Amino acid sequence: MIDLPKTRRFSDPFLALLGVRLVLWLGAARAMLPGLFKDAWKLAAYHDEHFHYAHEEIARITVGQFHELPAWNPYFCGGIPGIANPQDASTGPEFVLKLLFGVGPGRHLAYLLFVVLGMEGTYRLARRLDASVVGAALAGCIFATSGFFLDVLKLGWLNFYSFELVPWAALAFLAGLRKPSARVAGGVVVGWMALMGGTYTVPYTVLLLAVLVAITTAQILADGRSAEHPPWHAPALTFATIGAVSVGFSAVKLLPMLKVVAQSPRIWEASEATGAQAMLDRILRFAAFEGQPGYVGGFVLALALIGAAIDRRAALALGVAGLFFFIAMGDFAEFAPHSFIHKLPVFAQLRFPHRFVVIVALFACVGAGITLGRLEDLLPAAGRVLRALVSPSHGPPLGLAGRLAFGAAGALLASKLALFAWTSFVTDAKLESVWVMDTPLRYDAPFRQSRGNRWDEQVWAPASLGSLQCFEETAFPQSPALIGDAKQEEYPADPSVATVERRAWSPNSISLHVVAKADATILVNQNWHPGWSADVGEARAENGLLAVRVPAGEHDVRLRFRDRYLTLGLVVSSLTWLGLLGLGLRAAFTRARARLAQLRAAPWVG
Amino acid sequence: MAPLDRVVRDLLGGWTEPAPPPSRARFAAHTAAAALALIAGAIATVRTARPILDAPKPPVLADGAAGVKFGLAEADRRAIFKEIAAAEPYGRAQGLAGFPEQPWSQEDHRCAFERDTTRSLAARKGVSLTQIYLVLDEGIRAQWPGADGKPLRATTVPLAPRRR
Repeated sequence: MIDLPKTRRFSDPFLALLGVRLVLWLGAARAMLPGLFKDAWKLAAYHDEHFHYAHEEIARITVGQFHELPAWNPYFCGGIPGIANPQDASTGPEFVLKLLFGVGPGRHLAYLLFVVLGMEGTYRLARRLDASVVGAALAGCIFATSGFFLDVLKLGWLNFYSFELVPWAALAFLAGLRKPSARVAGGVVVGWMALMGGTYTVPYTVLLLAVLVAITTAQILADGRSAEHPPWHAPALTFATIGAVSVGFSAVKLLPMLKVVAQSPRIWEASEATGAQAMLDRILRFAAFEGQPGYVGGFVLALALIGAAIDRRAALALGVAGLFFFIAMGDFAEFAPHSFIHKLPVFAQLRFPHRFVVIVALFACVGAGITLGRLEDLLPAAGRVLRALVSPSHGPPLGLAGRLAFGAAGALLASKLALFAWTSFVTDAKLESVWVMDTPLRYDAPFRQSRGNRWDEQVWAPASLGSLQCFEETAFPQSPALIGDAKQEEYPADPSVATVERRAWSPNSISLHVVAKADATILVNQNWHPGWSADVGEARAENGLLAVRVPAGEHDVRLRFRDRYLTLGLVVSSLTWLGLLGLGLRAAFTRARARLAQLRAAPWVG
Repeated sequence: MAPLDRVVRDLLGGWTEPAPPPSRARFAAHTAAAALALIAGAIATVRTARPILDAPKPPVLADGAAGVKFGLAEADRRAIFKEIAAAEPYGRAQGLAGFPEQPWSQEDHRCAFERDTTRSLAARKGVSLTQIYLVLDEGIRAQWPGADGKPLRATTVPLAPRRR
């Protein structure tokens, strides 16, 4: 894996240009996901789509309408943390699409963006492992639209589309063994996953990178000292750099989220196992499974297996796929790899180990891509063998025309095989429209809590309502005193002592005019959280409700929500972003200058 | 460089070579090809994204004159509320039967039945789900009578996430 690709092929230049690949990826996305381009404002029927849509809409309202960071989400459960919520994805860079175009179209565009990124990332990873352009393109197209992604798309889990970035992380790791800039880029990729609330993606990627560290370190040590190899500590250094950069890049999400996860850990007690046959079915069959499939098709797996027999890199790719296959089988025995992994911090909070099938799918596709390259390479070699058989004296090597012809035939054969694999894959797994429910409508009114219903969570926030009935994976405290028919959302505990009038409201700030005959407690129909403070009196909890104790008199009270971990994270992330921007500009400037110098040195210049 | 490689590179390659092409004409050709490919990529991106961006935006609900709220007359709203309220005791009974010792799950199960009722009503009446839930919220807030003549409960059961 640490070797640089060496094979030069007739087909190399065909997809050398990014623009040409982009056209190919978009065409493949249109062929595979025709439903994605219809009904952009509609929602899928599954309630998880409603959950994510609603959370994103709430973040969009908070940023777009109130010009605040979505630190607090008053629209769900009576008020819960926003960005700190592990399931919140509003800090992901793709959130800009939802801000600009609305959540519905923004989600569709984000799906498209990730599919294209997945194709390009897998293509580059496969090329780095010496796949031909045909093989790498096949690997990219199939992985990025594999059964895993179609399934999570139907469920509305856009946050799981950060798995499309996994090949980029692997690629950055391999390139990072030699190039520090690739390590930094890897950190940005993993950081992006974390910003999307990658509660599964980040730990899975970290595990994959740890496996790559082990493989590459072993390879360097086994091969001994070589001028071609990076030093033995390069894998660990690359891993550490990716980790450090990703933490800085995503601190705005990571710090507040870790605080929540530490305070309210999600304990998953169930022991889960999937048999080998059932796991294989997930890869070979496009069918409804409980949990996620990893369908890539039998042809891809067959190619990967053939490649493992004839090529070292393909064997390594299949080895990684095999290792993750065993991990994905879960706690099937005491010695099962997942039984140990499940004891690790963070991993203890994850369920459904069969989701590791996405890593299996990636490396099966990469293995298949490498195999196609080898098949391409075999044809000219086969020509030489044929010639040797026909002319026992071996004669002169193949002439230029002969090599060209065999090279072209190899590329053509690989294309035919790739097309066959792709066609059989698309026929089985094409995604028609899953967006069948009408979009929630906007209704402008002052914010108030409603009894709500989490099964149609998408409805409430656009109608300026909160849904008290809710479901969250994190055990956020919810006050039993919340009501869905309050005459006022902010009211005195004792109406005979004080009156309250709302002057201004936003998700993170409430301004009240209070007239109190004596010291009074003002209740807010939202959950208390230590992040709330008041500029008059003292913010505190009353039976789990947000309350403020004010002295007698007439006051303008402002309650504000501030999450200091979010603030700290924002500072760390901002500094990291600025640093990366500076590094990026410097690298671009250096590259441009070097390119110019090369051009000036060309014999036809001047 | 092998002859084949040289021919292939001369014919097709050069765009990604670290060194500049060996002639002005080839440099121009490579630059033009890269620019054309980028333009083609940009056009394909716009064309692919257009159906998503051009999807018609949903309307905004507003109150009207003569008691019209969220686009519905009061009589229609009361009729909608009556149907939801009539179905609520069944949902509560199902929740209790399904999860006798888990109050949050009882309530959640009731809400799943409420979801079925509201979606069916929206389809039958030809109105949006938002309108249906706004009517439910209005009825609870205004304490319109339920099936037993009493207002519907305005509270819910605090969150208790699953562990298995």
